[in-house]
Amino acid sequence: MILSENAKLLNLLRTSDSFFPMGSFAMSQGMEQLINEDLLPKEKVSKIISLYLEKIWKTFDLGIFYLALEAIEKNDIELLKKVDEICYSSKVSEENRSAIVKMGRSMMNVTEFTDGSIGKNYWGLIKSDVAYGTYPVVLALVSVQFSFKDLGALSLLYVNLMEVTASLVRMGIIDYIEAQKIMIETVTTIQTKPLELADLHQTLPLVDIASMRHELSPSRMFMS
Amino acid sequence: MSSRTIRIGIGGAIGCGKTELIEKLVPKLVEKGFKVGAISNDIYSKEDARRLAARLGKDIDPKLILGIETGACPHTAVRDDPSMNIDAAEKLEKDNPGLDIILIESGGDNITLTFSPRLADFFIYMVDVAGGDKTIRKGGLGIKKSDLLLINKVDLAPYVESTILESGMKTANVDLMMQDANKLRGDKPTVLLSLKDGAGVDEVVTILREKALFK
Repeated sequence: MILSENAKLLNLLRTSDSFFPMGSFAMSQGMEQLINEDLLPKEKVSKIISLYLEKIWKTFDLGIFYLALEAIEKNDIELLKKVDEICYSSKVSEENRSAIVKMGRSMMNVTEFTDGSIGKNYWGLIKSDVAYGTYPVVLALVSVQFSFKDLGALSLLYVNLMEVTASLVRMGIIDYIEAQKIMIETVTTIQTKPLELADLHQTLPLVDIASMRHELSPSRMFMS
Repeated sequence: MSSRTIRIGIGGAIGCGKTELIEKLVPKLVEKGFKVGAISNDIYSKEDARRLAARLGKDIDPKLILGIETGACPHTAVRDDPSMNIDAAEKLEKDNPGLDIILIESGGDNITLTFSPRLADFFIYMVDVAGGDKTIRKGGLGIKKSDLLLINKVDLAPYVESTILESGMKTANVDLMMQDANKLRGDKPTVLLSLKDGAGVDEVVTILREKALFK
């Protein structure tokens, strides 16, 4: 499929648009629990979002995306499956594992892959539950299908950023103008780069613990 | 009475008594010397604003009541994108110097409702006994985080079946609702209301004066 530059960019925007949700609208990545336990004062909101960015999304999810992209370019479905497994098993809490698969599969559901492509074949593995279909891996497949390739890295960071920032607006912690300021502050300085497998890491224990506690909460607004 | 208008958000389920609360509060606040305006959010109509203007006509100038057709989920208009309400509040403030209070009624919604901190200074969340006595223990942002929780229609409790397994009563257990509220809300106040006969309204006025208006 040959796409114009406009079509590539518009598809990139479409995959990042929260009006067409793929499950991220229902996730807070532990924020809800931090708020419920009064562990996140308003003045630290911007700081914790930058920690999510620097300690989870850029050092892990983004690395998975690039490794998946590499596997797709090599047409190596076994390597892609391995990357998918690493992504799934590295999420500490069950609800985060579940969330990342729900998002990936939702994105797969709205994408028509070319016959014979690795995307089409991998969708078959996901549907038969042989592969997980985590969000960063699926995003890499979609990025290749619509030819925006490594720009998908920006989509990944943007979607994650929107997910937690919007959750804070919906919980009434920040308002929509403060949210925009945080978004501007963050996206203006954002950098993306591929990572080696050995460099993948995510180190924000406060959030992992909050996510695990969130699983036990009897009253929840968000799935994570 | 004050130099800055205090905006009080009122949210709650459809039919829990939000409009009626405004009808009961406004005359009492006016009697205490406050200049009060109101904004009523409806999804498809301005029916609530029309009703407020008709019933409060003797207490306040109808120009102090604005209706907004949000045309979207009610919580979107007061939480995610409150710009229509902020515009309306700023218009009321500009057109009515010396306005002390604006009561902002959300459209009927669910327990996840909260107000944008940019829109409301003080947040009242309402439930009613007829909606089931289990409502409070289900939690949710409105019930847990609001500045003031109101449980309306307590007069209907004898006519409503209890929906709490451990209730020990056949009819709605208001005491248990209050216990659940205190457990979830800590020090934040909860008031039992029967707007039909005005019971509890004076207590709400006292709380608003102490915690929202500081006078």
